[in-house]
Amino acid sequence: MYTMNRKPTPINKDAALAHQAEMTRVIDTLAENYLQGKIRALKLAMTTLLSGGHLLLEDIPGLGKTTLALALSNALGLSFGRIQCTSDLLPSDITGLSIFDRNDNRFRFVEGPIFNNIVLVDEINRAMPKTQSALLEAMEERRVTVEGKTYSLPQPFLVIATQNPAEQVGTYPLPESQMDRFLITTDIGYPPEEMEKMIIRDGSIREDIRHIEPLVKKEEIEAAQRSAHEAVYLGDKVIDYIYRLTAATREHRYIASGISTRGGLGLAAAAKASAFLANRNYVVPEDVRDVVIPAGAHRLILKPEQEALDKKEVLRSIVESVAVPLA
Amino acid sequence: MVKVRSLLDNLVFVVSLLGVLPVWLYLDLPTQVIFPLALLVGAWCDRKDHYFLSAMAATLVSIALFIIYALQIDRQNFVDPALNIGVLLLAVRLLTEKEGRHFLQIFLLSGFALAGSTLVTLHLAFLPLMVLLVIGVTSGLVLLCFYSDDPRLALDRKGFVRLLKMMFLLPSGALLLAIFFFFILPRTQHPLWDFLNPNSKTMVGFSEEVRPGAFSSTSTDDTVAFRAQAPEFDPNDLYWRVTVLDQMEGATWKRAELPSRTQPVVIGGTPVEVTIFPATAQEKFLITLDSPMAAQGVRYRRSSDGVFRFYRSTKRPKGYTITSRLNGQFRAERQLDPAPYLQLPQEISPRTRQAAQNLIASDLSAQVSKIETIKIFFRNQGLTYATDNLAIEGDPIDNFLFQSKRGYCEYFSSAMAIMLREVGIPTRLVGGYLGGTYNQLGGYYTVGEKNAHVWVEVLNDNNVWERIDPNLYAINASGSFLARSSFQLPTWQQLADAVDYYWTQAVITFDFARQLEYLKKGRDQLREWRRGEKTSWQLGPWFVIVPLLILAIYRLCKKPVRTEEKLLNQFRRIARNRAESSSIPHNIGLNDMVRRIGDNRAEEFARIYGGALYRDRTLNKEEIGKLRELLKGMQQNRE
Repeated sequence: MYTMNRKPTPINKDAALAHQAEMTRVIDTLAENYLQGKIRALKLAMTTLLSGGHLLLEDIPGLGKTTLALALSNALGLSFGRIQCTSDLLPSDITGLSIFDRNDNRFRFVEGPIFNNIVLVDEINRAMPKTQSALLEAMEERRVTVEGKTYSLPQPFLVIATQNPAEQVGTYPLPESQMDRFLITTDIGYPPEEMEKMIIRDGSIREDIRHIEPLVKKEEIEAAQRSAHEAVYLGDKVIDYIYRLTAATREHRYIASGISTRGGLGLAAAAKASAFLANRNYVVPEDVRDVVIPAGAHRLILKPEQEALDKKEVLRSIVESVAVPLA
Repeated sequence: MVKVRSLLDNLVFVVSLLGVLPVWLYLDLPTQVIFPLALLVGAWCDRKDHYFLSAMAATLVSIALFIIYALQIDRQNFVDPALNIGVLLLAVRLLTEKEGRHFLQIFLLSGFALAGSTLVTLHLAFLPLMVLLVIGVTSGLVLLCFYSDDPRLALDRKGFVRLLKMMFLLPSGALLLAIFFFFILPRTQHPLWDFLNPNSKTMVGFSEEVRPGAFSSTSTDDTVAFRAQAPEFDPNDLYWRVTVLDQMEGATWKRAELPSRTQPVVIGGTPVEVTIFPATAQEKFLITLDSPMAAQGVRYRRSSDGVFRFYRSTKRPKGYTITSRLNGQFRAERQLDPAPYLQLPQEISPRTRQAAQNLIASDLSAQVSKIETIKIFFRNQGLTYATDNLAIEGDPIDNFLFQSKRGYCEYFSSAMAIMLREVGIPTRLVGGYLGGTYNQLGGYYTVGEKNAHVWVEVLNDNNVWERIDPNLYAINASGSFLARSSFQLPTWQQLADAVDYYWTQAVITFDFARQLEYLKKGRDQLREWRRGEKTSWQLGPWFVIVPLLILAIYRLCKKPVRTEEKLLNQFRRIARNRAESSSIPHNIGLNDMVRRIGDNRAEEFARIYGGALYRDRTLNKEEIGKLRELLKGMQQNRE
């Protein structure tokens, strides 16, 4: 995967960004009308979608995780599936299973909820490890193999998993190696005071969300994904910056294991998507810095004696110590 | 990790060594032994952190040593005891446990020792030692600051390198200032501390009297007598004329400066100009190249026999330029009284007199002149040039001519002059130097005291003083005596000598007069320049070359500033001013700065600049122009 003689990315430094305006309009519309105060999470979700990764929302229940996922899928005109994880959830509950059709006298494959464009996996840490790993495998491979037959998942494909960090009893917290599969991890946070009062006054908007008209077509999203991957130029200076950031995490005295190469790769992809959203066809160090905490913090493994520390804060201090390339 | 304490200990060792090294040769024997021992034992004590000498005992020893040497001090003998006290106090201090002020004391005493070395020797080694000592002491002071703050401080590699950089920055600044002040601060015409050195150097080799047979051998050391800047000549033509000896008193030739009203006239020869730099202060006579006509750069009197005397004797060696005619001859005065040049004492051996008389009466004398006859006699006599095993009993001249037949220049010249005077030819001895070592690198001759020489001048039939060097008639002349007067040094020795020469030139002889000279020169040139005349600037080019050189070195040391960097720096400065902060942290990106400035132009700047930088291409001309314009706009907007 990381061979040195891979084909260089096409050097078209002035390529136009396809459907950039549409994608930003989705964010703006949602943020203005439905998801007030969640613009940061919304942007990160869009970044994840554009870079083809998956999103892990870590927050207490009731802050709009589901609303966010639902609104996004509706606005994008994508199919939406939801998995509520419990300790007795089986892998086949996610992937689907073959059932015997007596009419046709043969087995018929019934697709599970994972066969949707946007899949919300609620409280992923409640599922038992076997189910978790089946899910994560599907996320990575973008296909499902059931009883020797392989089924491709629909494109575009985005998993939004949620995890309640406060709850510990009866959960199977994702190990760090599994966390690495998520491109971006973020919290949603409480909305600002005014906003929260407004929400309390106007009531839940879950109903309104159902009536959001799709703002983009599926093909446009796919084109935008391609564009974010191919048309956004990642210069040597910024590559060096990303490298220095990851290297700094590996040398830090609080950290047992820093950002992996996959993490660096994800960081670059997220930075590209971020640049795409900023309507720029090249990556600047600020793009990297904007995504490094959500894309990097969950990949760090702190030393046992430092485990009480907040990974985000540790990473933030590292980012501050690395010089931005300016010349 | 490097411990500051161990750094300091090592530095103390080096600094004390540097300070005492130049005076060590001049110390008393006990001190010579005690100091290195103290140095080694002290280093051992520092390492083991175990000291034999308690603070109290050290104080008592110091006081005792001080009293012992203080008793020896008097007006005649001040320097030696003072140096010994200093070095011994340093030795005691090295043996004791060291804390803050003790380090300072060691640095100070080492500095005193090095400074004191100039009272006993003006060796070139002073300069590098001083530079090293300044570096050592300033670094020591920096380390002490750290040490006094935290005695257990240890530095990692990075911190150590940074400290080293700072430690070298300070002394280089100090040394540059020292060079500046060396030229600027007014000098005294006489050495301030001269009274501390009453015993002036006695001249070896050259002497103002010639008395063959006074010593059984002459010593030949490598002391430099003088250096002469000149083109390279045939070394056999280099007769450096200092004095003329015309009177014999007993067996001793002396100078009785015969009365004369006329100035000497030189005929023949090729005109040359040489600049002479004596190594030591000259009391009476100028060193000139035979045959001298005039001198510049010094006040002098000229005798009719071609001897130049200082008008006033100088305390410091001083350079001057001599105009001569190489191989020229002095024409005798018209009314020269030959009698004084024929004077002979009573105690001349009969055998010598007889030999001279016989020569004149012989057949040979009928064919050639008397002078030639004497020359032939010397050539046939089988005399050997030698500096040892010389006869001192009886009549040395008689012994030299007829028995031992060994002698050096004084024997040869004295013997020939006596015989010439005996047969009625006016003769005088000329004392000076012969030959010299030409230094190709510096373009000058080095003439040592071992080149001291005496030769003969006779008044020939043309009424001209003719130079005869009887030493040339020795049977081993080409082997020993001529070889000694001129030989080539190996290159490294030439180089060392050249460095020593320039050291003397630039530093030792740099005095108030030279400063005034430069000042006057500068003023004159400035005046001429104001008049708008075309002048041949001598110092002028240096005013341009030196700053250019400094600039070039600075440029070389510094990384070349690219246009991008210049633009960026300007942009950063604007951002800094807008944010009213003293500096911008290195983790602030271009767009962050744009936010701080809050200006459309800044945004445009970031777009163009970042567009090039993060797309791996350089700015083109148009973009640079546009960026400059934007920067200008932002700056004006602020004002």
